[in-house]
Amino acid sequence: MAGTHHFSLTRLALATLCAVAVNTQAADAVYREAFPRVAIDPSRGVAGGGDADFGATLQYWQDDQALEKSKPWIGNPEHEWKLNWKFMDLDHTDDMHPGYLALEQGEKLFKFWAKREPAFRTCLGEGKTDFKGLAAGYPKYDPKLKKIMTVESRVEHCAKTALWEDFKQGSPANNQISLYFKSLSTNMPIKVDTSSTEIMDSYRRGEKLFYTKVGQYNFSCASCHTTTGLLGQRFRGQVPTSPFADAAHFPTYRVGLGDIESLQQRFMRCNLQARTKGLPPGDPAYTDLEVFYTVLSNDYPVSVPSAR
Amino acid sequence: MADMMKIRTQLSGDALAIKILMAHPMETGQRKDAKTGQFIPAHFIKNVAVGLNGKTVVAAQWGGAISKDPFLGLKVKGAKAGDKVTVNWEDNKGEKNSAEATVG
Repeated sequence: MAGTHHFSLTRLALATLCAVAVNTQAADAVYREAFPRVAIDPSRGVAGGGDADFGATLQYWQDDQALEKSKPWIGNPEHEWKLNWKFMDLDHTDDMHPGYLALEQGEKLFKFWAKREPAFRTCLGEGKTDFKGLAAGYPKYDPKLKKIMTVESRVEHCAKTALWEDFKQGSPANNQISLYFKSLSTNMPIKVDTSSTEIMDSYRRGEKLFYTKVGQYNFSCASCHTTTGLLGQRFRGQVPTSPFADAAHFPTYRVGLGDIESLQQRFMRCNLQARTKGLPPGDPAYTDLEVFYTVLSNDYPVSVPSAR
Repeated sequence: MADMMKIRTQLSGDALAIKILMAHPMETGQRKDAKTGQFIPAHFIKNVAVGLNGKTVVAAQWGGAISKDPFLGLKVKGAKAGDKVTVNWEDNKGEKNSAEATVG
């Protein structure tokens, strides 16, 4: 009796093994589930495409009084961006957070290198020496390099070509210079060129990544950051936010880290928190995701330096 | 690093609100370096003194429990425009820093 039982179990195990083997042979590509898509129109920006229109989530974020007060802001391009509570945070109520210390270090670092090698300045500004408003146009397609450039990859590229220095994306030097570069466009609306085909191709790839489930928890970005997911509900002691305006305040000072962090480093840490192997900052997949996120932040003001 | 300290003052009536942000690593001495496995030596601010026109208004003894890049906020009565606010700190390695601001 026991013998037959043992025998049948072994056969069962063998059969399962064979089935697994057949399955892996049949599937040549990695199988990934996707989160159901929601309607996000990249061309609409704040006016109509932002938080006010995104599944009516405002009630989760404000009390009734504040909601009444902010109702006239809906549809008003001058005030509508304030409806996104990311702009009601520490950095807009207080001008004394450590992001400013990082900004000072970045300014010092940039001026040191630009004095030693003026080509660094012209390379960062693509010929211009005044950086005011330049960062609001990033990420953009560089026809010379045939690549989509983010502020961080521009700093890395210019440091390599002009200074022969290795300011890798995600390194403190790169983050500080990027923070300084972006701070010169602060309060200016983000204008990523959505008419460029390269940017829109990258946007579509980033959009696909946004909905693709990965890792041990089988999470996609959309699992938490869309209304059909966890957006507006409590999760890990926090309220997941909408994807709009997320890119506006990076690189940002993270209180939990005690350091500044770029958007792509945030993606990496987010992946790790969802038990997925993160990619290094500067990876093409992260660049596509950054393009997706920044297009959704179009028309929102750059708010650097910031603290979260 | 050591030269960075930010001071903001705001006068309302004769009450002066002072905000101070100091750049300091504030190592407790109990963290381990993930690569070497060795303890990171303690490095924290021990004494802070805030003065108004040369008179000490706050003298604090700090330890490793204070966070990195500490922020100190205080209110002082009896201040007027043109007063001088001075901040001095000394850490456990004997490093010192001071900054000054004029009440505007």
